[in-house]
Amino acid sequence: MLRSVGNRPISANAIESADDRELQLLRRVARQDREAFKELYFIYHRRLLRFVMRMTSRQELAEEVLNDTMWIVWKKAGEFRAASQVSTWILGIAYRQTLSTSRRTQFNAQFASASTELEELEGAPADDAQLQAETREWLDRGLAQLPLEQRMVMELTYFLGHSCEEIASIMDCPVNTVKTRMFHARRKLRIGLALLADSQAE
Amino acid sequence: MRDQSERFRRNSHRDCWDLLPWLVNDTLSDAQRQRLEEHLAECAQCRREASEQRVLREHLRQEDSVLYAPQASLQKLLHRLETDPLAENSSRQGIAGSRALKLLAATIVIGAVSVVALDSVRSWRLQEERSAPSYSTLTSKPAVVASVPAARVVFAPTMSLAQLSELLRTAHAQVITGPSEAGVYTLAFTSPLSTSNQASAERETSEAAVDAAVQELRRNPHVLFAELVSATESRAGR
Repeated sequence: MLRSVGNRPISANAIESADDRELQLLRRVARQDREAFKELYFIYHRRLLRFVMRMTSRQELAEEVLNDTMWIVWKKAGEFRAASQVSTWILGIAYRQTLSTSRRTQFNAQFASASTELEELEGAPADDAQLQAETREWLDRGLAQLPLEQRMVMELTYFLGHSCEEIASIMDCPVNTVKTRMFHARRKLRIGLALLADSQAE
Repeated sequence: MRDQSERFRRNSHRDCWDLLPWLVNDTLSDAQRQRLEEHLAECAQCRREASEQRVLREHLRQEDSVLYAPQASLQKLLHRLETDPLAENSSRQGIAGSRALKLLAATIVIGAVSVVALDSVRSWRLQEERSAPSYSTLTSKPAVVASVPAARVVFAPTMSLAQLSELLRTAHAQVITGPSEAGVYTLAFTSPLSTSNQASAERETSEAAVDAAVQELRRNPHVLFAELVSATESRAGR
């Protein structure tokens, strides 16, 4: 599943060569090559940790999910059949690990109890830096309160920069489900986003 | 193409609205992007939504408070790969079976090979003694290593490099060959146990010293197997 980036050959090449390189590494990992495994670990550490942190909000739990994910990568590298990109495959594993850790530790509970002041922000004048800072805080809380799947779609789209089809592959769901999750997440964040967009436009 | 865009314009406000995040993150196909841009040109609501989604994207891409310490995490995982018996990856599971089983097999093989080797060594040495010339040439290989009693050792796979170094240091040992395919290392013992120029009486003493060292090695939890290889045996075996 390659991205269609027809009129942007440079970035297309960059994506393909990164995937080629990761594919080579993964093949070496399948042959128990620890150096290749370390390299792959360093390539993925930051984005996986950040991705999982967005879901768990707890560093030590995120580290645990990250290492469980890379443990599975080590064990299953020989089963990767290049039907998808390496990154999509690894993120799919991270996604499932995050979901199962979420069920086990119920880390979502903390978000349910956090309060947001949606209404307080609505209609407030958007004309100073403090309000912008408060709006950003509100946005962070709003993001944290989204159901896990919706938060993941946001993060995969805007932080990790995946296409809708890639996200469907990572989350193992239809493309329309990805759009619907994104749709609901956008609706919930609408008020804060509108304020922030206005204050930045001024 | 124009007909297609006309049809799209009529039915597609919602479709476009749904796809806006991926216009913003620049991952749409050329055809999709073109359709969306055409729609945006005439839809103020979607233009506004696109600008809000750009704000959201910038917000999500800002610096975060995550601490990145890949080395520490990697070390933890590598330790797990070393110590967890489930760490065999899928390409090897089918072929090799469990590591414990392999070690057991290796130990049995070593035992069997030792017995066979000792027998053949004895008969070969007899032949050698009958046929060997009673002189040596300048080009004869000096049997430095062979004249030193050694030990064959199998270490536990869970042993770390630091533990191995420590073991070698305290035993005054050096790895001279290995690991063999079965994971066997041959260790020679340096001073104060022996040197290569000792007289045979001293060599016997040094063999006793190596034997004591082998006994000591067997007490180490990281050593699965250790045996003495006498100087004559190791010379004959070479």
